[in-house]
Amino acid sequence: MTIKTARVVVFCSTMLVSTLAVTMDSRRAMPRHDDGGAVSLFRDRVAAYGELRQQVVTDLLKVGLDPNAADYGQEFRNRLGLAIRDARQRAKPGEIFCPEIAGDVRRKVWTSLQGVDDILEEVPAVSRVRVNDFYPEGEPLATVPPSLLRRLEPLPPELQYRFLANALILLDIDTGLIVDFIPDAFQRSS
Amino acid sequence: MAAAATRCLIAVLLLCVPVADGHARTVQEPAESLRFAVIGDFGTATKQQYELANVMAGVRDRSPFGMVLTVGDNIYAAWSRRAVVDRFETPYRALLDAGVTFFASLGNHDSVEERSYPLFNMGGARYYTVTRSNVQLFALDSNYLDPAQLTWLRQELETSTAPWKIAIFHHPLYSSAQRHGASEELRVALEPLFVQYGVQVVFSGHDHVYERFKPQHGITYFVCGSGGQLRRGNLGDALSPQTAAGFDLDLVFVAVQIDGDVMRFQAISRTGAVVDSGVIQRVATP
Repeated sequence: MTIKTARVVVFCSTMLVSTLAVTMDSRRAMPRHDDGGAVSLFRDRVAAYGELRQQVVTDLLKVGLDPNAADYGQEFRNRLGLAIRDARQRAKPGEIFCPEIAGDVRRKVWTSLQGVDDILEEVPAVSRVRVNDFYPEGEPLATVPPSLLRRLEPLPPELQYRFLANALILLDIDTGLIVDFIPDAFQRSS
Repeated sequence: MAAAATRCLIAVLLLCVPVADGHARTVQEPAESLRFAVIGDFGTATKQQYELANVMAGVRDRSPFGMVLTVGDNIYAAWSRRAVVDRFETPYRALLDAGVTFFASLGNHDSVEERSYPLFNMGGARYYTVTRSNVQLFALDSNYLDPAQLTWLRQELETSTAPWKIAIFHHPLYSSAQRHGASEELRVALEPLFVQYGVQVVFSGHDHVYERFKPQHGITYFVCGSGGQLRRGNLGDALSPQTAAGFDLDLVFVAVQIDGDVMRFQAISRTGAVVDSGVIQRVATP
């Protein structure tokens, strides 16, 4: 086995194990909600995204792209983002954040952000947030309050809740791809 | 602003151990001591960043330190080879060539690629821990302090046997600066863990000033956010009563030496002046 092959095997194994572990942990750790299945639906959709993403990673590795290349994986991540976008080209807002979850998340965001305008000051303002757009290059990532993260459904490591304009977005952190978003998740005071 | 600046300097002089010549001194390093430097908010590629980097190299020539801790905003630009060269590799070339190891944490301006950049030694992770000599370093991602990270931190602190536990991350739990100020949300989440498990020192950035706080629950907090750009006068006219020293007139890095239970630090400006210095005595946790 060459060093390159070994690296690829380690990379794939790590991604698979971490995704599975987090998914299993998330499901074990979360209390059951009387939410008409919305939480389960959200988890299933997140898991489905993870599976699609893993398939795209596998495909990229098969064609010889190296996530440990000398550019520190930048080309791999770029290609991964574009390939996921292609695979989800018909994705619409709300496909992962179903309406019931979106309402619940919006309430939690509003509660958590009351009186913390300093966080909102750092949220980049863009004219429009869209699924399958990339997070604006060079823009900072505003802090997401830990108290809010504690109240939201856990996500696998490749996904994060982030703020952009007035939306809460589901961001693929490695690729910068906006996977889904909740519009009007909060309001700036100024 | 001049009054504020004068008052800041007076605060430094009153509250800190003065250094005779006002410049970094050459100190012989005992066999088992650990020396390192701390910088934050530095990756600007400005003349000022380069000048402070030159001062760091000069200090290292006289008092060799083996590592530099960064508290985020390491590269103020979209990730590219050019950005890394201009904002990191060139200004710190002398340190890198001397074998100094950087350990980075992420700020709100940093790119995901930095986790995999070998010279930042993050091992691909958003947060990690490293032990050197009698010091365990906890590099956190304060931009996204999710439950998984907090669980990890608790486990690492619980099992740590290092006499010194030092945390580095971007957003300050205490800050008098007017631009951002203290992150009380993060303080609520992190400080109880730090207190419970005996973290003695915390370095942060985000506010582009230097500030040191009187020990809070036994922890000394530093803001070292003027490694590459300055918000002159941003400490304002009213320093927090918790502030031990503040400096907002020039760029600053912090040089640290730990010997046994004693940590000595100097905050050194772009002119080489020591603007704050002092000693922190480790108190054994029960």
